[in-house]
Amino acid sequence: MREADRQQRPVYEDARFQNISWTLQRVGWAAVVLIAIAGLTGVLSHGHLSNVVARQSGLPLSVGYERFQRMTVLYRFDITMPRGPEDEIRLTFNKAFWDLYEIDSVQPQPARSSASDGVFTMTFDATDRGLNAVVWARPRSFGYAPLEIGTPSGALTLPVLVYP
Amino acid sequence: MDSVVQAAIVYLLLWLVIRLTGRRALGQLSTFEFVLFLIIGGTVQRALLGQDYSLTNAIIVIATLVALDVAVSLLERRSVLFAKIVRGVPTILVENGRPMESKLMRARLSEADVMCAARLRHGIDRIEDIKFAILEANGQISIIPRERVVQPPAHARRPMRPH
Repeated sequence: MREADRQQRPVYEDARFQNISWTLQRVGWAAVVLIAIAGLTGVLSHGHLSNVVARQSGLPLSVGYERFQRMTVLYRFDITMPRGPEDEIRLTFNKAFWDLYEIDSVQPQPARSSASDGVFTMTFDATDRGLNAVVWARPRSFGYAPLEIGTPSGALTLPVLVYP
Repeated sequence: MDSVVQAAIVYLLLWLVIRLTGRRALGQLSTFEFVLFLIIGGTVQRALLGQDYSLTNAIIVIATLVALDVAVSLLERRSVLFAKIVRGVPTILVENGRPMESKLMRARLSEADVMCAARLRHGIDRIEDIKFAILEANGQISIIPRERVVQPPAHARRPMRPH
């Protein structure tokens, strides 16, 4: 006897939905690989593409920092400035910096600090080689922040993107 | 508020990870995949709690996860589409003894996986004896065996000769 032509299937197979699912799954795989690559290259912080040294012509100040950061992680700001005519070097930090970061430590310790009009100023004793200061800080929130670190004569803009 | 939002994001993220891994991982966890899911659990634990290890925060996170799970289950009952998105749909892998190669490949399964399920559940050792093999939404492979047609003995099949 010939087998019945019309097969009774035990489940309803939504082939269109399944194909879409599989396609999206493969897109998801590509996204996961991209995330891993982004992590390796520093786009998600801690890597080559994240490390940057900010400089500006006419301003004797340089700041090494990471432009991509993550919330609650400790980050380092390397601030270098040659010695000037004065015995002191003053660094200014804008409001965005103080709103964003919880300062963990500053080396060397500033001789004094003050705040006014949303600008925080740290005054350091200048050595023969000027100033090599390291500020360790943790971002408290995520998002884009236009930081500014400078001197009374000018400031460097340090754009930072903090991931949650 | 942060705790609720973080818990919701982690819940969604875990669902995405499990869907990306595929049903194969759900239904047939290998040792490595088991370890992988353990590591994922440990990794999200810190993301859930952050730096707040208080009892209150733990209660908020647990309550959020449970509430989300209940909400998802209720929505699944109300919406067929939502249920499909959350759980997936069954897929026929073998039909009338013939493996559906393209579906096996896309589901990252092999005939050997199907035959393993067939042997375990029904003692079937030939793919021709499988009427349907279905990859269920939960990752299990269910087997519907073919009804075996019993062949009469050879002498009974010859036409009777008149005496």
